[in-house]
Amino acid sequence: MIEFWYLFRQNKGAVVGLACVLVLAVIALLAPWLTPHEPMTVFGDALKVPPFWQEGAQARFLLGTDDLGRDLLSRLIYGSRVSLGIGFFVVAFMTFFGVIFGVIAGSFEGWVDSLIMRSMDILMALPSILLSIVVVAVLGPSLVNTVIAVGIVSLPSVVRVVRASVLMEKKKNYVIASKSFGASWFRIYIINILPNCTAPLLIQATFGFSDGILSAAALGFLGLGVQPPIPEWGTMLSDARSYMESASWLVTLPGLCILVVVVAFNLLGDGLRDALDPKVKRT
Amino acid sequence: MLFVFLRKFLLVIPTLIGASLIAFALIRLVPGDPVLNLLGERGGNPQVVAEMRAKLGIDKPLAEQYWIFLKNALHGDLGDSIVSNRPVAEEFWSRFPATLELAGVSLVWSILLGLPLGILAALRRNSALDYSVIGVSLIGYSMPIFWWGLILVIVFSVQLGWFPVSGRLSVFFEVPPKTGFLLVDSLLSEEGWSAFVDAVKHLVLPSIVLGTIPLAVMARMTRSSLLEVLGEDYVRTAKAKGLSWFRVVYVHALRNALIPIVTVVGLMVGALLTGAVLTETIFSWPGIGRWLVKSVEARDYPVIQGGVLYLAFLIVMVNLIVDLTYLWIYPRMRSRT
Repeated sequence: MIEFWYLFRQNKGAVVGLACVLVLAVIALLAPWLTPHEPMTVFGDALKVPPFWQEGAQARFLLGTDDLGRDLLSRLIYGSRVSLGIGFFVVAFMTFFGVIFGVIAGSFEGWVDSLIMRSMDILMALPSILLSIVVVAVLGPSLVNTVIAVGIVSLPSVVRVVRASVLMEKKKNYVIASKSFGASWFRIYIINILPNCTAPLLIQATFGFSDGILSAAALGFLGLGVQPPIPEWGTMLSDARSYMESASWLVTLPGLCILVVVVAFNLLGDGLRDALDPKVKRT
Repeated sequence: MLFVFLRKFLLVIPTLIGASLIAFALIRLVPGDPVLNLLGERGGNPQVVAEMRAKLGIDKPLAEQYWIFLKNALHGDLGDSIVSNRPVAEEFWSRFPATLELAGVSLVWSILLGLPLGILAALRRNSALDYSVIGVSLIGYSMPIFWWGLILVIVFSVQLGWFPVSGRLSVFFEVPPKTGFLLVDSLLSEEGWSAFVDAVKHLVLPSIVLGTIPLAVMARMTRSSLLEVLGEDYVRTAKAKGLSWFRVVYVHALRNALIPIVTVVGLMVGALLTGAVLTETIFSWPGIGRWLVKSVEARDYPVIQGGVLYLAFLIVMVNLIVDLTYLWIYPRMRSRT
């Protein structure tokens, strides 16, 4: 653990990523206290007020307002709740099912393994956004369905990683020892092996966060994700397209938020991988 | 060798069957009655409902439905679009060249730029250039490309007016479709050069948007792969033999560094098609991606079903070809698969 922290700290990018993620998490948690206005409140007298660096700005709307007169800053802050929330539940979904399928595939091998891995190949064969669009087409667009769609698409990466580490671990002496004591399947795979798979799982989960947020925003942009008036960054971006010329800040700012969050999680993931992956450690 | 090829080939079949099951299950999984979803209020007329059911092929038992679907699909018949009433296969192939042209141009420029950038970064490790390549590629593969596209439109189309906002060709050009690729068709048409320039102008922004993530991945992969190889013993041996720096890097190291890069190019085909869905939506590019998104909005089930099946088929085939070329170029990989 100390070694990990030492290695992790060496990587400046990773520390920056972690700091950004923590700040974002605090912003998301404290949203009701940080926002100057309610995200859904409509100010009929202040439509498309520009942000503070442009002419015609108003002091009460720091980043301006949208076409309905809602405060953009408040909506962006609440948007962090939506995006991080989606990221969190996508990661929870893919980790939960990914671990189940991965452990089963890795422990039983044979036809069960083939069945699970071929199904994962099928999921990987289809372009991820198309697959999530298809899932949304079946379930209908909503917040929960966005999580399910993106979670299903992210599943193969976790299953593969878990299966690979289970296959590697089960050949080690401690597992053989446990087996020779007559330990049950559950004891061997869940209690003995699974904790040793946490490192690759943690890396995958971090990238799952960034991928999940990006895919959910893309679905929102296509109008198939989180539905308005919920302030989701991708949906906000898509709504603002018609005002691209007259109110460009409505397009630039939500997109910038998405980019910053995704970069932060990718930096963190790269750092975790460098610190945790024994192969990369020495170079 | 033949055995490995055959094995790879056979492994594709379950994947394709699975994809056809997904495509098939789609209409049947929609909550409620898809016909009533489609017809809305007019669904009251039982005769219309029955006709629609027969048209969608959902008036028979499930197993029989799947059998018919599979049989027709193998004959290239994917049913008719509900919106346009034209065969889905025909609609697919009429739009496919547009997507292929966009994806192809994007892939080519991302390789042409990404490869040298990655090589330079690896050779000047820890220099300012290296850090900027790392930084730019990090931003590149984190990029929400739908936003990136809009930013480029705002700057280069709306404010500077250099490139058109959307479409493949300006309306005043009449280019008879021959190959479906406008870069070729425009040169063959009467307008010739001026139509070609116009088509290129339309391609610039969409291909930048679509090529951004492949470029970032390419530069990053080339850099790390080359760095790894440069530390190997045989590279040291080559240096010790007194070979020129150029020969060591470009002949000895790069050839081996290219192995993982070939795989990445293969994987990018799927990523390009994913990106095409978003890019085509931003630029109103008349390709497969935009067509499918519109069909989802219109609940045009036969189109979604057929489109998904075709795309899955194409991607699986491309991956197979990449896999096989890979085995063919690098014989030592054969034993590992």
